[in-house]
Amino acid sequence: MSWTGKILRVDLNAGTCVSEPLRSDWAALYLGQRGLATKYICEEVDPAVDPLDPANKLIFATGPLTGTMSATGGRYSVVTKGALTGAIACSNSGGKFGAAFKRAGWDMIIVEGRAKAPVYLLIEDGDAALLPANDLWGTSVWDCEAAIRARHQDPQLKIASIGRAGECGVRYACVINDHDRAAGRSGVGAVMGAKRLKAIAVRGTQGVAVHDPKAFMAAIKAARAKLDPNPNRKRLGDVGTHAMLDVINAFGGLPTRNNRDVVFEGVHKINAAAVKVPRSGDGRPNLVATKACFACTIACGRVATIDPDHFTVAGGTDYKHPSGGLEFESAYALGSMVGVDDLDAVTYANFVCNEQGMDTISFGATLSAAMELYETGAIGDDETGGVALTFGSAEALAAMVQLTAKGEGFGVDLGLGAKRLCEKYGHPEFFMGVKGQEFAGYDGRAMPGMALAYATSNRGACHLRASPYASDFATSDLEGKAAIVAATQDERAATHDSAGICMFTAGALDLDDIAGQLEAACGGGWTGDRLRETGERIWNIERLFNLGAGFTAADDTLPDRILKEPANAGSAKGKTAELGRLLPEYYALRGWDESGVPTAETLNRLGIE
Amino acid sequence: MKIRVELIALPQAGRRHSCVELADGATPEDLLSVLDLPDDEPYMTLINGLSVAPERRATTRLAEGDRVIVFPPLKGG
Repeated sequence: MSWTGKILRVDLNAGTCVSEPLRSDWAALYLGQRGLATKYICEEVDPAVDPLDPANKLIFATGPLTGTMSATGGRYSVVTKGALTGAIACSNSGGKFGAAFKRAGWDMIIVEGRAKAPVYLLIEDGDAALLPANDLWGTSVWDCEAAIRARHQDPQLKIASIGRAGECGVRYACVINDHDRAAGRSGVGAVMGAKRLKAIAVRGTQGVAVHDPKAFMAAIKAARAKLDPNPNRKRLGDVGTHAMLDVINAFGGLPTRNNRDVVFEGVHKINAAAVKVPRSGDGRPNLVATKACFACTIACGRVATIDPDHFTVAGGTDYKHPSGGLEFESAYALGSMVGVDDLDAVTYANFVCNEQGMDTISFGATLSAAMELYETGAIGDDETGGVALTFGSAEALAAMVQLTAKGEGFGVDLGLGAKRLCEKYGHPEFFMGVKGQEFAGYDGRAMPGMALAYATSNRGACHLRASPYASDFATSDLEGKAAIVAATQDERAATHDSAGICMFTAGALDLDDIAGQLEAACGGGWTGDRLRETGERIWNIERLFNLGAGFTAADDTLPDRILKEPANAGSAKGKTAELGRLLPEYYALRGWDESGVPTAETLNRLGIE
Repeated sequence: MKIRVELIALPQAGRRHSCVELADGATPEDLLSVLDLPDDEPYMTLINGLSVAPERRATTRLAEGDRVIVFPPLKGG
């Protein structure tokens, strides 16, 4: 079966790496990746713990399809109590790292404690060891990867690491693998930094066995027959997620200047068409190539360059090389949200976030909040070191991304995240997010389903936890929205966050298609209906963890700007977001009481003790 | 009547902004049928910035000078 049956438990206090058997009874109930790792966190971590305390744990987890031939089967997740939110955190990444550690013979890595001095974990198939990383501490992700490969003379090592942002406690620091793939949200990299774990380097030379090879080949062939001709697959390869920028802007739901506006007048300068236009200086476009993750047949990844004459790259040679380019969320957060329409500056900020391991969404949205604080006079040049934090300033964006990533100057404040920053300077109302996590690139006034999805997401505001897109683009009628949000939350939890494949198969593959692959890979009777129930089970244990961490129904809400200030343009002009009807309906659908607490009946039905 | 059409995130880039001549009383469904789009996915439409649900496309009347935006069912990411 596609489970290796082995977990690597890394105790940083003791400096030990110990193999232990996978709880297969839990895998049967929670599948893998997000679901299974969350079960371990719920069993082993006090939800009230400080996320940066050594008692918090950090789990790297694969799914049953990770490392197999299943199309896009290269995903892994990092699960912990989030440093940004204090809620359960799960950040999902692609690249080649996840498949490598599965092929080294491990289903999960559980990291606990805190090292006395910086270390990195080296895994070579069944062997694992903690090695000193004093000389790596203070390096960027890019330099760290190069140094580890050079030290071990192995260019095939796959590495997940933190940059300086994770070391210096940026609350939204992420884990970066394979140069520019990110387990991006909720501050999982800050937890890794607090543990003084700089990197995990893996050499996996084993295959991944499956339960029924003949059935597995048939199942993945059937999936490819659906995925390959799907128009969304081709579009993601051609224009990536970046295409959404024009769509959501035309719809009037593109968060702009800290959600004060919903349409960005400069969108055409940073959109998917702009990145293909050759520059006048060197004749090259911003977008120079695309790339794919392990086993991926979509290739949504972007490779970009910055104009060599642009002010941002005058002093740094690293930024003159092609690197990870803009996808939609980065273009929103580093573009419209801060009002910047300078494509090279937005690309530069994206490069630096990758280089130093920082979530582009939270950084951009936090800078946006700081710009509003600056505009209103709550902060001034004394705080910013003389940098004018005005909306639209490419210079401010370029300066602040470096300061934040390195924990210097006003970057220390920006590293707090928007919620803590706005509270510190007396304007909590400027925080645009939920449960401490900043919004993604959709304004809840234009998208009522997304508003509910944001409010109820277990990891704080998130665009990936539910899929209300088609419904929201078709109608603002609230009828049925709560059911769509709840159902797609469950589906996504089980499939694209716990099975090991990418969410971008969603337009082509349904739950039965994925269940067929899972059944052939690991057996045990997987069906589409069982996946739905598994997703609901995952959602409920995440909710229980958050309740234990101190969250209540009062946290299932949105900022006043979204609830009380009407949108000033677009499809929702004159409207605010409505949760008053949707939330009670959602709680009832979930089988939760009026306080948002799962009832005993619901927990019994799902087999949650 | 003349309808202004903008296609977003669709391969027909050459017709990104165009004017389409339709008979009076035409509907968004009529417009989609003359745009010659591949029939492999359901498209979303905005008329003068407001969404028109797919099930209302055959009964909604367009008017002279309307601006229609057509885009595929993107799902975020």
